[in-house]
Amino acid sequence: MLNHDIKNGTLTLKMSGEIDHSNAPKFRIGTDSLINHGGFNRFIFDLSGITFMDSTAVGFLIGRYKILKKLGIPVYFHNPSREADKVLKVSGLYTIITKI
Amino acid sequence: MDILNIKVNALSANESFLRSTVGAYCTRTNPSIETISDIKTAISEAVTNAIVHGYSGDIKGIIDLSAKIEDNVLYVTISDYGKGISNVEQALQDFYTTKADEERSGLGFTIMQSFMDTLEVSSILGEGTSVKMSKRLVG
Repeated sequence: MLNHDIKNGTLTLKMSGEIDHSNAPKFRIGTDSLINHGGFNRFIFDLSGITFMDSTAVGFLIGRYKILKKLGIPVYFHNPSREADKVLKVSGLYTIITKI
Repeated sequence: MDILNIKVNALSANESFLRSTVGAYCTRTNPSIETISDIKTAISEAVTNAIVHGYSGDIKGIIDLSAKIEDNVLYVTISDYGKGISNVEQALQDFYTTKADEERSGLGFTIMQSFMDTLEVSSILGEGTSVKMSKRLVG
């Protein structure tokens, strides 16, 4: 599930539930539509509600990071759940996206 | 003797089904939540590989999962009868993917290796791939 709000130019996208290969396309369509809509200059993935993620979710996050980087918009992770945190650590994603 | 055998089609709905089932199967030994979570992630990776790479999305493909718990260690094998991997050593490398255009991260085997105690991959081109993993559940 995706929830978002935009405050002071920051779009915070709260992702919750399980993300895997079966439902990643839904997350992708929802997120890309928000990105295309614009109206922000900073992007935060709030991962506090993630109950499961695997390398498909990592591919999804890297894909969005690349799109946002091209637009010159900085990307951050916020409050990853224990499940998300471990996959992000092993994937080395914290080396390109900062946790705030 | 404590074995589990499941045969399913290569449907993406079976990713969550198989990881949840194996997770539930392991709870009889009272492992930590983190151990269960690691196992579920590794199972998900192996099943996704079978669906995405082994069968390239052909749902007629069959995935066999067999597991056993022996002396508090989970042994699990996930097999497909799909196209196989031409170079297993290369496939095991971090970030290696044959489907970069589909936003595959190339980290599936890296995660299986990190989250489980052992990982063994055997594959024959045109015949399929078998992923064997184990993890101590308690103690």
